[in-house]
Amino acid sequence: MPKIKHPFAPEFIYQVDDDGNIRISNGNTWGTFTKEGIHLSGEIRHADPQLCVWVANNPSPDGQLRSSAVTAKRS
Amino acid sequence: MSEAYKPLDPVSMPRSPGVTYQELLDLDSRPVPEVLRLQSPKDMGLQQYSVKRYTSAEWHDREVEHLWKKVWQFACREEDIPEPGDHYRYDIAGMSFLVLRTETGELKAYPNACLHRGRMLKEFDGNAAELRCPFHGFCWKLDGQLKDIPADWDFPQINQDDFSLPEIPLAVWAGFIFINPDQNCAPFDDFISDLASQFERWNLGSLYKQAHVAKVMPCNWKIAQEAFCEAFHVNATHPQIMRSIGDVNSQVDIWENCARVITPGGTHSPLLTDVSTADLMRSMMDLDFDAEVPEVPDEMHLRQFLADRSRENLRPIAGDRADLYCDAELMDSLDYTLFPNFHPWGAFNGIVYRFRPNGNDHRSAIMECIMLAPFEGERPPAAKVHWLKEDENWSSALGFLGKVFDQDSFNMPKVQMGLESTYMNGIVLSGYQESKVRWLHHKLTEWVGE
Ligand code: FES
Ligand SMILES: [Fe+2]
Repeated sequence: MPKIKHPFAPEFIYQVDDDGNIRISNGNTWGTFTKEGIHLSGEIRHADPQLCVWVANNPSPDGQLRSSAVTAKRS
Repeated sequence: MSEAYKPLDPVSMPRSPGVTYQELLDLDSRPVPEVLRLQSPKDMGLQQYSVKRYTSAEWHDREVEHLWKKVWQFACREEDIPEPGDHYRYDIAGMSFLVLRTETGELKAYPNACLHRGRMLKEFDGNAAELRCPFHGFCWKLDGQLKDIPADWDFPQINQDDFSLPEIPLAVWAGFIFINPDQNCAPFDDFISDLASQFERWNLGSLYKQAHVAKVMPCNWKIAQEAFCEAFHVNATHPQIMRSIGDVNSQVDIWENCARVITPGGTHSPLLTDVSTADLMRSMMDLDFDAEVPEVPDEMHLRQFLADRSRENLRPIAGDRADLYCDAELMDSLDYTLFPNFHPWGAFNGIVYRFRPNGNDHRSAIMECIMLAPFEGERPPAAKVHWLKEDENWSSALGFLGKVFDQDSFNMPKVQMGLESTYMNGIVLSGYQESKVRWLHHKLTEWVGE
């Protein structure tokens, strides 16, 4: 599942969990959020909603009308 | 040029710390075209613009009367109607127009309305040998001349030689068909000249329409459009790409009828310090923070390395034309706007946006993204419009770019709601970074009033 560190707060890792929610952790604490950034559970209670929108957005490669100019394969 | 546009000195004007766009161009591995060396920053004051522009039906009505019924506007591509009889329905603010190709290959535009009792002549795009109204069967030839009136004995008042469909002005630039609902409008050449002179090098007419995606957005059309007119929002709306684009040192240039924002890629935001080359590449390629990335040779500037990758991606479809473009043309967002709502990107990207009111609901807009692409040999057929449903993401059709749009779209209804709720009278705009938004509002004041 894709994961990303917040550029302004790189200790926070945003990752999609097995339920399709966003899990944010900084090593010690964590929180889960909807893909719009609404808090669901855990000690971390605030998320950057736009980064939740981003990591949750994993379009199917089928149905794409055009690919990006700079591309890389996800491992 | 309008008096409100005071030229600024690009060297001494206030600007973001960090490398300038012109300094990045100095590092290019190829000769940089003149058009990228142009700089036209303008001081247009710091005034606020009324919130009513987004929230009031009365303002929308004035916009319809004084703007949409009067202005040159992009309707469709020439390639959307390649054959005689092909027709395209273009709607704007509750009005419908028909753009078609006649038997002789000429392009014409008519109000999409029967001259009998007004039914739309065509509600779908398609091909027809004649324009026969589905209500009572009045019929016109493709060139607009009356062809047939069923039971014409019953219409003694109609002079059949003088009952042609009214034509409205139409013009073509770079494969884009523009129409103007105003039969007494100003000449198209004056309207397009600023933009056309800058696109000589990027012949968008030589590209074909590979994709065309549209979606109804729950906000005023200007809220949707303005989300694409500055890069200042990147730090909050698209934090994930800050590591790979120079958001706040974008260059903004204002001319009379067009404006542009150039945002450099392959360089990190001045709002971040200490971005590693690997992190920059991961951000650019949308990879996880611990993913492997290719090695950049020591002697090579990263922008050059990434531009080379783009060239190789482009080569299978563009052939040797891939080598014509400098690094900047492959790496940067050259986001142009032609007043009021047409947004072609410069260079190779072939991205074009259009924003317009959805009917006469001033809280609803149609947002479209067209992707143009080069081709070898015969021109491929133009893509049909792919309408996204309310719950469908832009990413479902447009991948990485669509993911970025989905973040912009996430804001739009909330901006509408906020503007309905605010105690501010007007919106606040920055002096430089948001000057393209200011330019739009300045033009709107000229056309529509305060
Ligand atoms: S920071 Fe721009 S609208 Fe709030
Ligand atoms: Fe954006």
